[in-house]
Amino acid sequence: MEEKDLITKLESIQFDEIELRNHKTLLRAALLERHAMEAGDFSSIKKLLYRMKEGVALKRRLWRPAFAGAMVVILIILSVFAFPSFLGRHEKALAAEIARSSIEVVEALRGEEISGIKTIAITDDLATVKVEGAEGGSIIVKVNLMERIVRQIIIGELTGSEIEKITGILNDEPDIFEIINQGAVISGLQVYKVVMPENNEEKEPLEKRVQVTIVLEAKKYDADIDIISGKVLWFGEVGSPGWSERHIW
Amino acid sequence: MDLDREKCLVLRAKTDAGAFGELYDEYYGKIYSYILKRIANVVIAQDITSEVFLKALDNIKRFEWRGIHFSAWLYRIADNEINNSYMHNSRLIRLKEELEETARLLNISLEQEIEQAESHLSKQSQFLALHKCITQLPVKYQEVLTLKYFEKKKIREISLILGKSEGTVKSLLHRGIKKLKTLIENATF
Repeated sequence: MEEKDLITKLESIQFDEIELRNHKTLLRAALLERHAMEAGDFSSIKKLLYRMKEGVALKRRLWRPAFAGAMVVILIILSVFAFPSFLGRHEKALAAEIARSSIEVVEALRGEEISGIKTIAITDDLATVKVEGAEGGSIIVKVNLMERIVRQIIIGELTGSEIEKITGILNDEPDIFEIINQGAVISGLQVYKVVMPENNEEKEPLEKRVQVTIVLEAKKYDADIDIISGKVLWFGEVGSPGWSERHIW
Repeated sequence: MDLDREKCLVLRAKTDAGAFGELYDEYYGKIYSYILKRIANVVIAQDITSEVFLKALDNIKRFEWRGIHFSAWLYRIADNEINNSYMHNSRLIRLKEELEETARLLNISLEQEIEQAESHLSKQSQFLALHKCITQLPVKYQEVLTLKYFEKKKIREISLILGKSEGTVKSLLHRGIKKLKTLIENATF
């Protein structure tokens, strides 16, 4: 073979381009998140958490505990002295972390590992967080950012027979029956807690709590009921004494 | 992408993730393709591509437009990564895990995509036969031959990417062809 033949062969080589669209998309998202972090869109505390994660993964075992220890000390100091600004600027991350570390959330997912967590909205100090389980389950968690607690967990949908049962329970409660008779209407139903038996073979819950919102003219009421026991656990006007404390476990 | 737009994007990309994303969109395919042609391994090419863009992100703030275009800079990072024998660092491992986790959440299969790409690559027998010979050459010849004949780059572009004079590139190409010819003649496949 002559050199010119080899050059011709090299020049005529056709390479069908190969695309990795999924990898391209995922890598793009990961890079842009890092870029945002570097550009300061994230809090200093989140940056530190990230650095700590990087540091803990250092190959040299000798530095690993020292680095992690130093970072923990810095975090504690920052959380004491810089907490107000952290809370003010980084509610989304905080809400997600509160939801992630909540025992009630773990219980509500019924043993499923948390696979995804995202703060959907924040209104005043109440954040709405979507938590997804590894086996497809998902719940909505309401987090009070000021108190740093999970206020409410919204799980799944209600069946037609459950809604009928709820109507029955409401009508059996004299105070509620009275306002319904005055023309009040049910404006919302949300399941906020389901307690399953420890024996996983049993599929019926021990408790299934629902928050019912009732509106009468300009007034709004909340009723918390347990469908399983048929009891009204709490009833009162929105904003009245005890209203804001009732979903604490 | 014209040079002025690229310059503008690079400047913005120092602080603006969106601009970095535009540069990424423009060059991901080209860089992946170049790496794949250098090493002919879908998975490793994918990992090195990740590393190239991670390094680009790390260093974009320090990047200055002095004699080297952004695209040439990316090729240069890719060359360094390939020539450093693809160091499997912990940061890359964590990034891979992160991508796999996101893929799982989004119900996207990275494995299937790799299988398809490997199948596609295995069918390019003419390229693979030549690649097998090229990889037996010293790296300096592999770089110029791949850039010239597989990436269809001009001498000027190759000199920018490799940071070598045009004369050196021409000389490397000339000697590379001679050595490749000998290799092919002696090849047993």
